[in-house]
Amino acid sequence: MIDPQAIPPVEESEWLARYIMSQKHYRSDLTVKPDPFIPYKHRELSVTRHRDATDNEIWIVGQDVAEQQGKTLYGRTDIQVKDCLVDALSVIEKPLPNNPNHADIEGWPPDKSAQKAIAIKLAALVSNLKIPPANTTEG
Amino acid sequence: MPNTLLPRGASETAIYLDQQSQKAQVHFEQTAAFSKQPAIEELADIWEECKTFNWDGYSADPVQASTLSYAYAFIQALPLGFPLPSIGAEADGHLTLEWYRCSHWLLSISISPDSVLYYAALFGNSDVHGSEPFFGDNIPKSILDLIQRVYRA
Repeated sequence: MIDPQAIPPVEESEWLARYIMSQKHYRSDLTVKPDPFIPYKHRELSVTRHRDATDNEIWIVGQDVAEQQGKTLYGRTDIQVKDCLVDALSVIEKPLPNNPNHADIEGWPPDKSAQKAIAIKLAALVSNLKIPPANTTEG
Repeated sequence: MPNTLLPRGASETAIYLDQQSQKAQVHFEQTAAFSKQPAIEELADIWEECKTFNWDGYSADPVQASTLSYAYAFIQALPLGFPLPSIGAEADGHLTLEWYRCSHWLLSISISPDSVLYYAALFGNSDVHGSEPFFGDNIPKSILDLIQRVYRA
């Protein structure tokens, strides 16, 4: 994971993960719907940077988030930062105490239909749903 | 409201034909309603999952009963022969109706609790978005045109 004492700015070549905790957010062919990309309650979308993290560590963060929320982690979808830079969007590092890799996709328009227009573009570029491995272990 | 067929006359044959016509009309209406059943069942399923706070793990608002009833009305108002949407929900508590051909060719409509339809469509390299009021009976023609465009060859 990223060193919490030295958080680097987000670069366009980085990859980001968005965790999926609702079965209604992906289709039967594992493509991801635009629905989980609508920013709410604030106009920012929470993601986790892959940078300096192993695949196992990215899954552990997702499992922790789901556990804290009392939800099931159905999977994650990945997107490259450069593909997030739609209209005025930007990706800003926002480390959390338990997740130094946390970032927000910011710069969303206030209008709901404009948000949807961006969400369907993001959903067209993200990976298919990746299913959590059977054994996600700490450490 | 069902259309009432005008009586053909008072003869035995005319009465028989009227009865058969009415039976056929009831059958047609039941068939039309039945054809919407998969979407209605999916809607009920979504409602069960999304009627409580934080259903998505990111502090989502619950879907309100009024949103559910507008989504139901929208599905029922779809003209016969139109493809059914797949149903979803967003973190702001809106229900979504999606017509999907592929990731770059789809229409998504959000239904708000105050009956506004927010839509966005992606047709290859071009996109369309906007909003329309929905009064619970007639679906705006602009929306019907977009649904048809998703499946047009």
